[in-house]
Amino acid sequence: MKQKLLHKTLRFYLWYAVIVLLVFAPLFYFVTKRLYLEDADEVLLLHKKEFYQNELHRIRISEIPIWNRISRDVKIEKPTPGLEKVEIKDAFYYDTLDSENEPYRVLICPIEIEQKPFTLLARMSMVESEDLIESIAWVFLALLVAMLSGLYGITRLLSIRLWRPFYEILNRMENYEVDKQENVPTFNNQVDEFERLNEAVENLIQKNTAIFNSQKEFIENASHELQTPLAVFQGKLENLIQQPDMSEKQAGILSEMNDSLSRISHLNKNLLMLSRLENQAFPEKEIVDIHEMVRRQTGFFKEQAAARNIALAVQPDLYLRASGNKFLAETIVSNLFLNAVKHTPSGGKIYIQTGENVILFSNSASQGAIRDEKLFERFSKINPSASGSGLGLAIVKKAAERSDWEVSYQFLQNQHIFSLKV
Amino acid sequence: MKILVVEDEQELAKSIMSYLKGHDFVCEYASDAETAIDKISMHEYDCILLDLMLPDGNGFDIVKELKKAGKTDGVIIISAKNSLENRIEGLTLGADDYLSKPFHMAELLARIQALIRRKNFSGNNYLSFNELEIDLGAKSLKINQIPVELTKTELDLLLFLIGNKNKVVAKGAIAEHLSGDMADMLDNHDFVYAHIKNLKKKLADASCNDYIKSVYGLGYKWQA
Repeated sequence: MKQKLLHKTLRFYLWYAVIVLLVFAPLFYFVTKRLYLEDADEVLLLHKKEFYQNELHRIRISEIPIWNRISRDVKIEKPTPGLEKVEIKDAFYYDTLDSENEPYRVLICPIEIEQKPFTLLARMSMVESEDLIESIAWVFLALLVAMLSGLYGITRLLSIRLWRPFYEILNRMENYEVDKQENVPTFNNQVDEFERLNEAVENLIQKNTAIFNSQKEFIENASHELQTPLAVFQGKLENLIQQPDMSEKQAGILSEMNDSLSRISHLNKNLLMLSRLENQAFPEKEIVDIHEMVRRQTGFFKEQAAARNIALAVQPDLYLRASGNKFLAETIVSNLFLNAVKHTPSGGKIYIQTGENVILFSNSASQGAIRDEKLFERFSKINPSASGSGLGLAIVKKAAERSDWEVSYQFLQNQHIFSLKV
Repeated sequence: MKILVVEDEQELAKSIMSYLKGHDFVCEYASDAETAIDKISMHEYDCILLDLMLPDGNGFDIVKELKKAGKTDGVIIISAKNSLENRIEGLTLGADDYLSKPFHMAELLARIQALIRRKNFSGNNYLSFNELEIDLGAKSLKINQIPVELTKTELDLLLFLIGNKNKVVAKGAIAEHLSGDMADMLDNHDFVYAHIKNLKKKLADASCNDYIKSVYGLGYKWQA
């Protein structure tokens, strides 16, 4: 699955944010903690200084228990061995209220009271500092989320606005079909790159259309120009076969020439027809009785089918009317008819029926389903040696397209089914 | 009968004239519109074969000219333009028939004969050939005064062959004549054989001479 451009941008932002968060969150934590510790240490030193100034020279050994009972955070304890100067460290004290160990910052320092050594202990609970850090972390996170979502929103908005011309160009290219002459609205945009893209696309479309048109014209002109020489050829050939003293061998050659010529003429007519279908407008619309067309042509094709030992049957109450061009409808019907007759094996069956807005030509198959996406394309013959022009179904498809009808192929119960949906 | 061939492609004109020769036709030839208009103004023709694309003008203009002068010459347009619009325009302007290139000479001859028959129609419209007599109006056949049942296709075929008598008519030409617009879609002309067989049998049953000769695999010939 391909990503959208916008998502790709946002993904980059997201990764950046995560990295920033991962790097800065611990950093932030340590810095804050450190600041808080320094603060706590200063307070402890201040307590110590106050004690030195105000209490140390007045206190008596006998007063120590009372002091210790009254003072919560500055206590006088038994001397700590090896302690020579002020020390500050972390420690845990049991909190009887919460019945758990709470972290404290502790200052110990050797003092002398009445020439006897003691240890002064000043402590400060760090519980609040943890709460504080936690709160700060939450605020920090909230800030980050707010910034990110803001960034997301802004990027999205900007992208959509910035990239709008791009998507318009994209849409236009997606909807572009070389054989449909359409006027695509051009639009102005302020961004140089998009303007260039737009121009490039415009050029490409114009070139494409020009090539396509000249190709179409070429086919039409070529087949048109071929008609007169073909007529000359045909005329000469027909005069030639009037020669009185013709041998059987010569007649055979002439017969083959005749057949080839009629194939060329046939091919040329179909090419012209296809060009006409592509180039010409068919504005005259009327209600067309397709069932009537089928009935009219049935006689002829029945005869053709019979000659190849094929049974052709038409649904008795065949009925299909549609609004469309008579010529196009006639073209479709006769080509579908012909296709069925041509591709049914000897002894096979052809059945024509109608349904709701649809007519079906089904014929027995000799070789299973046709697996060819190019079935409706010109010169795509399933059997390359078949004598058809390879244009019949292309003509059907084009004529259907021009009528806004739909022609499709199915394979069901060993039958080829061509359906025309009107 | 006089025919004017207006066609800028000389080789095609030659072929047409050579094919029509021997069928009681006198052909004249014009390779451009100016010559054609000159000839038309001076002579009467039973039929004018007219190409639409001429070096110095459009064939339609000649038809207009003809109608303006009040002439009743029959006109068959032979054109490389095979669109319905051209066909309709030609026929509306007053042309009698339209044949698109390439065409079979046999078909052209049949069309010319049909046109001349229509024009010269004078109450009774019969075509006879020895013991055969065809009523073109009623579409019926009598052999030695005895009616013979023919299908529409068989009668069509008979007329086509008699029209092209003494000429070898290719199977393809017959197929196209019998199947009209559908013909150029077909590549199998076997059905012609079946019709010929049926027709021959019906004629033989009516003790008609066997005029229909098969010319190897090439086609058939009405031997007069």
